[in-house]
Amino acid sequence: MNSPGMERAVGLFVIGGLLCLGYFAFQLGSSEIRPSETYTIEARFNSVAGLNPGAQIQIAGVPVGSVGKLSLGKDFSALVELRIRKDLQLSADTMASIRSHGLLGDQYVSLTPGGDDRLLAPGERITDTESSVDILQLLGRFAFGSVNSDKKTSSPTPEKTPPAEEIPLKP
Amino acid sequence: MLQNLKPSGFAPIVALVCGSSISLAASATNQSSNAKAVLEHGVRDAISILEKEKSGTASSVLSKKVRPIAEKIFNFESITRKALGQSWKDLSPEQQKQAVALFSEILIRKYVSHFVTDNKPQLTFLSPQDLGNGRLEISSTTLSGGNSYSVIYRLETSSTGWRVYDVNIEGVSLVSNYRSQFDSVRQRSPGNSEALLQAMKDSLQP
Repeated sequence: MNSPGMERAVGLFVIGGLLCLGYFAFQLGSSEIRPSETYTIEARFNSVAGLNPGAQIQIAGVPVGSVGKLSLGKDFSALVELRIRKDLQLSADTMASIRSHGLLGDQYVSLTPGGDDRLLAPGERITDTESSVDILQLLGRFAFGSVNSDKKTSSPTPEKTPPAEEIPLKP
Repeated sequence: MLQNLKPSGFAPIVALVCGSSISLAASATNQSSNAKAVLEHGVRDAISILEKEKSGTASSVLSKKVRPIAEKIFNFESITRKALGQSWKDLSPEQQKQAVALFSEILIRKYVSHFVTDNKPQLTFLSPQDLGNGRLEISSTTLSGGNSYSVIYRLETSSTGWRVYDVNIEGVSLVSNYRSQFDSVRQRSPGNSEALLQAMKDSLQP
């Protein structure tokens, strides 16, 4: 039936496979920023819909940390723990925005450092934030319209107040 | 010394501490209510001025009329500093003053022209939320031309009282929006602080 040589070969193959699996798992883990190499700050958002713990934190598209736990503030705002690389010093007027990779891609936190001389200390809170934009809500508003109590008085002229993102620096 | 005090001896201290805490809390509430009142009146006054104007009036003319009110509500120096971000440090004190003057003009002109409509926008202001570190957030809804917009004003205390340092319209921050644009200008012309001022001047050209 099965020779001892064959059993040994299968055993070695399984052990080899497990070693490879362990090696790749270690490599994958080490590519992320370890908790010991980070410090934590907090950001307050009005909404973090779609953002998950572990999501990337980026500056200019470069990963610099990851999102920790999400919690609810006293005023029902969303508090997000941001784990930032220790070697990175952020100015006190740094802004945090929730962005997504593509239209329906994963959400991440984008940081935009400012010009303040004071630096954010561990545990400090960023309140200058931009919350996630709810695509479905926007689509719903587009499809069904928005609540309009002055419909009777409104004229059919197009809306003249664009959101800030549509206002370019250079016309 | 505290051990020598009898239980009844603590009463005045407790009353003093409680009284101070209550008066501090009341003062904070009054301050935030005052911030809301200043903001609300300012925005309504500005809209009242613009209501009298015809659509098509030059934005520079509208800006002159609205600027005195805008300066009571907005901290343009803070807005410019935050919007310029890292570029702010590249400017000399004289250039910084020039940047504040130019950027405040850009903001006023961009926004006033959108409020010259036949329909008076309906504004609803909610209670202020304390952000800590002398900052407040006041959410509002603007109903205009058949659409409703969420507008969040962020205010900070200054020597002249509460002033707006950022406006968030439908989740998009004014400061963040302009900071990314100024960062692009800075990256295109590194070390050339005049390029930033020139970009602002170009933006004001009709």
